[in-house]
Amino acid sequence: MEFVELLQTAMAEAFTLGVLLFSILGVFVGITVGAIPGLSGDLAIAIILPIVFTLSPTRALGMLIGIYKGSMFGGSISAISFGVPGTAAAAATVEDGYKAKKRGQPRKALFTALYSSVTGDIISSLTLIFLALPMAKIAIMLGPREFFALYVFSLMLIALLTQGNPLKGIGAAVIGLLLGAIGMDPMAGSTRLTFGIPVLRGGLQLVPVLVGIFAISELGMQFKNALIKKSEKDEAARRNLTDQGSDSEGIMEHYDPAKDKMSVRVYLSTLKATLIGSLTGTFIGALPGAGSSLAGFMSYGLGKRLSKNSSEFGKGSLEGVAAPEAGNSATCGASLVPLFAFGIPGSATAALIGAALMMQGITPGPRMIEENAPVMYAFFIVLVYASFMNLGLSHLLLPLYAKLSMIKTKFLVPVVFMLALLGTYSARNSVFDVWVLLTMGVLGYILRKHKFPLGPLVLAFILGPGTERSLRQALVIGRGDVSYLFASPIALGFYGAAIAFIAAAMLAVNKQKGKKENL
Amino acid sequence: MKKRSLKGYYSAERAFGIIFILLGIAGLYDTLYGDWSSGPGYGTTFFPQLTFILLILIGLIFQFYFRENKTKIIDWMDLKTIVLLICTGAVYFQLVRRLGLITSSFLYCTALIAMLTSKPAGNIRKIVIPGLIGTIIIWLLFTKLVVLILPRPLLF
Repeated sequence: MEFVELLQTAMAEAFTLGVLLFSILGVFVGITVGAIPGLSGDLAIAIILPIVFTLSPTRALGMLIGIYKGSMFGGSISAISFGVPGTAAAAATVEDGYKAKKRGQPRKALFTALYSSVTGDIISSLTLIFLALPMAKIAIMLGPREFFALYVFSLMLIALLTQGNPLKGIGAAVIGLLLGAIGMDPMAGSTRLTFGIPVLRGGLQLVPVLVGIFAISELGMQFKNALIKKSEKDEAARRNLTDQGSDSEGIMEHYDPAKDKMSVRVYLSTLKATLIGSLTGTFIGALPGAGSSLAGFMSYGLGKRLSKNSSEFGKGSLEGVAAPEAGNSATCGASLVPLFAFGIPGSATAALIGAALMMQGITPGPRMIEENAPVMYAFFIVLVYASFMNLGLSHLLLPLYAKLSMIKTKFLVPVVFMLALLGTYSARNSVFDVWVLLTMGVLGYILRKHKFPLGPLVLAFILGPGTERSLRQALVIGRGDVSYLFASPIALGFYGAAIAFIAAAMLAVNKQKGKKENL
Repeated sequence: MKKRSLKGYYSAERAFGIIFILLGIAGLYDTLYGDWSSGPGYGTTFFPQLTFILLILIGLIFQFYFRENKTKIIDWMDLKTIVLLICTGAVYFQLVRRLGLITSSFLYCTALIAMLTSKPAGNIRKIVIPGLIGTIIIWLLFTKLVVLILPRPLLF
């Protein structure tokens, strides 16, 4: 198909009413869940994942990408309005966002967050669009040993760069590899680790594992917190204590709406911080495992260091809002680069989107864009216009989102839990999948409680079969000689980079340990 | 003196380490002596063996690295959460296939909201109305958007 013809087909698909509506719905859901502390885009995507198989690929992807983009900005609404980040990605925004609100600039802070978020997001989306295809062309030239080295490098990065203790990250990744090894051997087709359960022959299905690990465990945590809150309330009532309630710290003094108007001048004054955040976020997003929270903090740090008004950071500076917001949103498109180019999801959200692609019969990898050109080009168009939908919807509905962010957990948990259960069942009409979902939920809950990062577990579960296949293929080509794995400069480069990352992570761990011991 | 029983283990991470080591040894033993079929090259067992060895190594590192965390692997509140949310979730799923979607969703939703509400007896409206709204959302989603495969009477 000619490029112009392809573009026309993609445009026609991307601008159908259905795709537009599902993308808007996705953005709306994304901003709402992002604004509600405790819920996140990952959770929403995981819950909706089993349901999207009923939609066409472009509609499904439009909805999921809408949720992803919307949740990135949504997190900043409660961060700025109440000082509570709606998502982990918005944690760095609280520092200046909430103080800007208290200084009487809530509108300026919220709109700065919105514009910088959309700017970062568009830059990142364009990076994906222009980088994915050339990188995929390079990936096609890689053989099994180079791919194995790339898998090792990615797994290391995912385990080490995910927030929390790197050792726990590696532990979680190993559990993921084991779960991924259950079922058919990817080379010979013989079954293993099935414990005599026939239904395990096909391995654990992606949907119940993802939804269980991400969503059920998070809902468990929310449920536990709600139980604790309730027992504290009951205890206070028993002691006849009245709820003091109001937070005097959050009240603005001398609010003058005339001085709190967003303008082009305000946007331009934060443009440098926005661009710093956008570039930092795009780079970090493209690294497997790094994530939006790290991007937010690094963008904030860099923005502060490179700002002329660095002394204002931490006191309600709008640049301090723009940099982290641009940074976390700029991970959106970039985190899909490894997925689209190599078939390696770089983040938990990318893994979920990869799972959605697979459910639609599209296999992420170097040939994905070429083999599914009309759908993928339509997706690229949706990727760009969803950012503008985010801008428009947020402009219109900002007060509503601030109200929605106050919905109590006790009303949300039961509904979201039922959605997860029924959604997982309806994906394959399999009762066994429901048991897997609940088991994974318990496993995820226990690991989450002990601060094991769950991203490496899920990503290793997805990458495991590919890693094994490339390792065994390489060894077959090398006639069993292990040194064959290292006889390639590209592979050696990946191993060298992996070793450098391990060394850096170990240094960081020891430094952290030393600090703790000195306290 | 520090407690060393698994119930009140003085480092949850070290307990995790022990679980990893035991799991790794059991898995490795099974790959060596269990009923595994062979495959091309290094065979079917090769990758799982590597993973089990990695698991044992991580377990050993956990023993040396983590020392001071005193949290239990599972405390009373966690057990309560797992039983009240996740186990009752299984009951809810079975109920859907017997009592139908609306009835069981309403019962489950209101029961969970009641569990999380102080003085539920005095707040009946605050429990029933959200339960009803939740049920309507679920019903609309799974009968109109996603077709849940259930016998027709059970969809109501």
